[in-house]
Amino acid sequence: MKTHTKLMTFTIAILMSTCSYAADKIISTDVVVVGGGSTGLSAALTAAQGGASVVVLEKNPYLGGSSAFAEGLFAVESEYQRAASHGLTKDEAFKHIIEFNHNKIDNSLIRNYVNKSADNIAWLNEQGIDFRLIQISPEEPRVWHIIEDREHFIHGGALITALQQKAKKAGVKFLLRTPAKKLIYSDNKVTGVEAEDHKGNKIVIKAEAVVIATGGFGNSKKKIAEWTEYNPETFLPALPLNKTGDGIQMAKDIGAKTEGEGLMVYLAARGAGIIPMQGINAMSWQPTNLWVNNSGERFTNEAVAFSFGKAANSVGRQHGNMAWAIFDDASVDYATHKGIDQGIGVIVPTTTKLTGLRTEIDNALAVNSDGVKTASSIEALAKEIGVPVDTLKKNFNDYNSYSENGYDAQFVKDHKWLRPLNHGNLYAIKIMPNHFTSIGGLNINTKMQVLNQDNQPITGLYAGGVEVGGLYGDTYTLWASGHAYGFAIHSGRTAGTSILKEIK
Amino acid sequence: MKKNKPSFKQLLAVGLVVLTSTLIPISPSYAYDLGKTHKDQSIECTSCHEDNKKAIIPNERCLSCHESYTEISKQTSDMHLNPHMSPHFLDVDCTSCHQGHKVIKNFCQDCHGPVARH
Repeated sequence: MKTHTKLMTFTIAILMSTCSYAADKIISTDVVVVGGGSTGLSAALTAAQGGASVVVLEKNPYLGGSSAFAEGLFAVESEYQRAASHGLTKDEAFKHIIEFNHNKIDNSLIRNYVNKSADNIAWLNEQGIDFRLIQISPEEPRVWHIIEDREHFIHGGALITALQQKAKKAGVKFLLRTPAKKLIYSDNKVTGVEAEDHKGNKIVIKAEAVVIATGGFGNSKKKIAEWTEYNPETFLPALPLNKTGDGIQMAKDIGAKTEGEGLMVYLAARGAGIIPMQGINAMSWQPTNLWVNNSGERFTNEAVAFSFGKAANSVGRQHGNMAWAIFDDASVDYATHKGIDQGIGVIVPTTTKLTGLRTEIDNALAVNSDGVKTASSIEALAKEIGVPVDTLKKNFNDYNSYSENGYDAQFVKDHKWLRPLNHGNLYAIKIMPNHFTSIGGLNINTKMQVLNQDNQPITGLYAGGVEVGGLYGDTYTLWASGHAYGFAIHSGRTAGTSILKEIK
Repeated sequence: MKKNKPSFKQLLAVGLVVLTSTLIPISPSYAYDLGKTHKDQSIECTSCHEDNKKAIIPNERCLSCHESYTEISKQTSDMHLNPHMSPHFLDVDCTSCHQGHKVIKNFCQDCHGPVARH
């Protein structure tokens, strides 16, 4: 960083030249990274380790974005899998991912990602990050590399802070609360960005390469409405992370092509007095529940809850984008004393005993929550949740007789998860689709270069993470647990490497 | 990065504060308007702003007196969530919460709800 007086002289000199953007400060660097999440930090660190000067722009007062909170990464044929004798191969994983997405995706991007995934995990180990390997649910293979806590940092924060510290040591400069506003672009070449700090000072950053990694548009209702089929009033973001698709927009403004904009949906318990990601939410994910829509009809095999995105797809297409998860006192006792059959990732792991569940339910009922209801009979419950009594009663009685017979003639739920709901009081939790992040966006090639409408790379412009398109069909690839986080690291590293080759 | 060493005047002011704090307890509201509370301790505007009030104030300047997040976290360890020992973030901009001439704004509360001081 230049001293104040040198900067003033430099700035005045530049202002006297033909610069339409009246800059208060001008910075020259090799690489500017727009967005300080796991993608941006991987790109920044890779470039810096290769000798480039790097500036990272972040609009929030903290780094990480979603990556500070997400839990683990997809990889195949890693050292962790070798130690666990887990034999899934790169070829098998690749084929499965293509099939999951009905081949409506970029095969080359996926092939490279899957092939490099183990090496990316090893690179993260070198930066001081450790993992433990788990299987997220019976539906998915043992591919989820959970980030181990580090010092007092938890989950993704442990990874972000490790990369952050390494990047700082390698000379990367971080400008927090300094969003990029516009790409500097002419003759099909990107040569920097215009940004603004939190005091309104305009900053021009001239660079050989720009990496766009702003984490998508999940917090922009406007963009969700314009770019996707989802209703932004009902499909709500998990966290207020201020991700408003700035990176995608900036690139679109200079002619970038986009593809596949959507949301990474999951099921949330929604209603007043419900603390997110705790007992009530966990309870709503249990495969032994009965789900009904607001017509009182059962509509799917509730064990789909093992696959959070498919569960949200099913609930999401019901009228009002909502459903009720119904269970009884026996279910509450089971969850409290035996532990849950399906966890919420590692935030509430499988087999956790929900000892606080009754209190949580009571607290929600005490504030007359619109999302938590109870009754002693199915007729009374129908009135509580506002669905037609006769329809609910029929669906409930049918479900209980399937459960007693051990065969779900309606939707073929595995008999393991069929328990008749006829012990004590009944409870209903409102479930609706939230999303962890947007998916889809800028088209890129395997070097992470952003492509224009003619499918040609825009010189100097790179993108990665959940900002890009061509990775997913209509649903996030749940089968490859941690796909997005793994791709963030992969795309960041690859962008960094591509840039080093270009600028040398 | 130019390190902002406290002037003799500042050190004296701090010394006086330490002495008087044993006699007159400092109100916990001191964190709620930084400009005023620093001024009350005879710390010059230039200690934070140097010679450009329009420029941002980097963490290094705060930490030249306040040492480190770890040190500060000891003073807020009574809070049920310690904002200076976040399990999520490292090196948050000090002034994102401690806005110089405004009431403090703790953004932990955006997700966690009210964070209480005991």
